[in-house]
Amino acid sequence: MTADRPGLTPADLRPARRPVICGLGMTELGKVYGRTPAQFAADAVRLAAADAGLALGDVDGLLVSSGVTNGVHLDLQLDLGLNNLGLLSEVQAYGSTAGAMVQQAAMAVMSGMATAVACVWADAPLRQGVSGSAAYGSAGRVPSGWRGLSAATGMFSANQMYALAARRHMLRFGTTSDQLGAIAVAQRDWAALNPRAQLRDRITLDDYHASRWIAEPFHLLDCCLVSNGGIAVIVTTADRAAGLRQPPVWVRGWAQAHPGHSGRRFDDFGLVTGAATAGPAALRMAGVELADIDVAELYDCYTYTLLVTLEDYGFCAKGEGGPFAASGVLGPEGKLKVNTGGGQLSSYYLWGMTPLSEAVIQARGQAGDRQVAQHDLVLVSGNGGVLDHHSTLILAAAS
Amino acid sequence: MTVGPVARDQATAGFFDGTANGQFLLRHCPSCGAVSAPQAAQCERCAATDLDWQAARGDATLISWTVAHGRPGTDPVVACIAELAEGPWWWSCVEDCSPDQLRPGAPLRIEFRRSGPQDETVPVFTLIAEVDPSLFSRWDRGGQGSAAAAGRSRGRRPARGRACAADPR
Repeated sequence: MTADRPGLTPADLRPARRPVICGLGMTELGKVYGRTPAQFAADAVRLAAADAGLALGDVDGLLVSSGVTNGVHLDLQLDLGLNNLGLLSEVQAYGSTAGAMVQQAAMAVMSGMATAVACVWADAPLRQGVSGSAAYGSAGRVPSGWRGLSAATGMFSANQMYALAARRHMLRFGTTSDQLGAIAVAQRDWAALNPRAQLRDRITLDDYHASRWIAEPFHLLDCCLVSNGGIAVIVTTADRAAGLRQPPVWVRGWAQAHPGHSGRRFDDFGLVTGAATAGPAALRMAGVELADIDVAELYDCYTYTLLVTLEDYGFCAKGEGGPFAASGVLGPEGKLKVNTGGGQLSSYYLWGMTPLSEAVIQARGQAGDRQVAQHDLVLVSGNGGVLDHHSTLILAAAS
Repeated sequence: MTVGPVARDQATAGFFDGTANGQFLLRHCPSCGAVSAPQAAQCERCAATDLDWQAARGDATLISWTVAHGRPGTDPVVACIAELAEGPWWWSCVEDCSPDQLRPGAPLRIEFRRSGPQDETVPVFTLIAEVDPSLFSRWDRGGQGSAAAAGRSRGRRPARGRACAADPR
């Protein structure tokens, strides 16, 4: 679809200069009140530095981002007392932001413009006593312009727009509600093993069908959670990471794809996503095949998003995501290790930081009861807008 | 209230001038002839920026839909993507339909609604009732009318109020 873009890859570098993730910081996640997004972000960076065994002052690059609250900005450097930064930026690519930040940080440390780049994402849409849908809704604002026009006719939220995409997949390929439900059930089984997960009670397909409609074909259990919190990772070079506390996680391949058709005609809407281009490009950069991937942490704002991403990466043929997902391949007992922490559906919803954080935990071998035995290569996806933006990372456990 | 309120801004002023006159305006490219979406800042085929407005015929077909459920006590809304006869897609709602009537390719017609006298007029879709195909053959045998004419005829007249609401299931 797009031209091959040959360029410098981490494999071209001396091993000592390879970009690695050396720190992971996670605040309390979920229904955690009383802290602003900026406070969550600052805490996450402090935790990531401590996790890495770095002093906060060792951080010389900072990339910041936030979700619907848009509450984390460049002045985070002041909150953290970081006055000697070689890199500082806000990054916004919606759900693909976490991957995009790691990519930017990797290129920064490869070039030498910074040696330890903290990438942080935080949000606090939940307020005590206010529902999650209200937190993400547009109530109270007077809509204007093209977006306002959509809202005036009922297109209020991402739920509707992704439901339109899912319906299209069902119409074209015969994907069923049972198949979407199988994803929700499998991921809850993983979440039951994750102490950080917001929802840990196992569910059945009957529970899935009994959950209330949100936007047909989506039930409540097709949709991600809403969470407060912050997560940060620190990217450095392999030589710098060598003496630090944690097993380094090599950022071995990456790519983005931005089909960007939302609201306009796009004949493949709902059928093919940016994963179809970004996935193969990231694997090529890493010099590995899809069959080599041990663990996949995929952006799952909806059950359907996971299904279409599995297809586009090539875990199954196009159109066969439904039967594939319902075949028993997912979940802790399945042979494909996907969304091992429960994903955004059941663990916590920190946009692209949800799959990224679980990927780092798995690659390090620190996932406890849910640790996947073989975890050398981990694929991470990010998806933003309404399938408009995509990022892929290929992470490798230090050998 | 049939649709929500919306305010114009600089980008949508020309479009809302059209809807106030009962027209759905598309962007037409004088240099290559292509028709682009109303939001297009440049021709979607040749990238020319000097575009005219062109009124759509008002016919469309259904691409996808969702029955969106709001807070308890509110009626569900059928949100949709439709393909206009001229080619561009439009995201809006289907008025007063039963979800059981919806299928891909179902014929739609653009109608105009507004929330209140001070608000901008917005386009919505209504479902054109389709005639049972068995009737076509009967009419063909009897030589009465044509399938095309039958297909064009309007079916249920949308009831007043709750224009975008779906029939409760």
